[in-house]
Amino acid sequence: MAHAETPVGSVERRVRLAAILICLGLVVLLLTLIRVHPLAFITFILIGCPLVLAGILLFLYSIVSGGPTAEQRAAP
Amino acid sequence: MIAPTVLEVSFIGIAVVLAGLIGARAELTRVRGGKILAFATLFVLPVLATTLGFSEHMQRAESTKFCLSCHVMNDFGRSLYVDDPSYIPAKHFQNNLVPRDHACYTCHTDYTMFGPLHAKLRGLRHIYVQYFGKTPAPAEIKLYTPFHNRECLHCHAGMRVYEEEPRHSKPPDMMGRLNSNQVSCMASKCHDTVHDVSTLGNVTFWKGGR
Repeated sequence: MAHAETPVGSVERRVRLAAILICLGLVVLLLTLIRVHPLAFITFILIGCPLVLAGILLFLYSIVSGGPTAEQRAAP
Repeated sequence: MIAPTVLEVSFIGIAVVLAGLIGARAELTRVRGGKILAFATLFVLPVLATTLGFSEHMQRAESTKFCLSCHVMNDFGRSLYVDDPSYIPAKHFQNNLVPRDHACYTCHTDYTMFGPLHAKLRGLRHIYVQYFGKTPAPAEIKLYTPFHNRECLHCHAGMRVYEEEPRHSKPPDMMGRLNSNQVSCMASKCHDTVHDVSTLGNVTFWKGGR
């Protein structure tokens, strides 16, 4: 049973991590909008965008690599 | 009317809150509705928010404030206030011949298909030099290539004051040579006083417009 729970937990961990990365990236984006300055632009490009991109890719990976859900497993 | 930036910030803020919700309650994705919410929150909204943010930063990169935020550009900003109409940038800036909040970009972009992109790439190079390279003295800063008449003619072509100016219309074929960039507006001893930051110590400045 514990073995059967692993894919769902793994997917949720990835989704949680993806959400955290995206959250951080978007917060960086919000912070860079406070000032009109080249450093704000660079921070957005070098920190904000990669965080959001990593989060999105991790989320998409979690979708395609996810195992069957508990509902699907329970179905005959 | 709500400023576009407020809408953008609100949109990004909502995206942050929803992503935080999914991060805190990942078990929501076990049900169909949660999966749809997760897809919207962790794919659609971040893509839209980042695109909006990128667009906003691109627009800000065209502002005079952005260009003048590097210390080395200070003198070029001061040259816009020189109280002498023979200084071409000052004349354009002070008489609203270029939008004041986009003064640098209006003249220093290329009016070609990929001109704005080239201008942004040059800007990235400037940022690199500012923070990681050897910053030249303001008086040593030169254009990469001679200023093309195309940028002047983007506004001046067809203007009565331009076409009826005797120095433009009297000499045979002068208009053709100007329009084809064979004679430069700036390098032909006509409009050759541009920023000239090395002379700023000897000029007076316009006090208005701030």
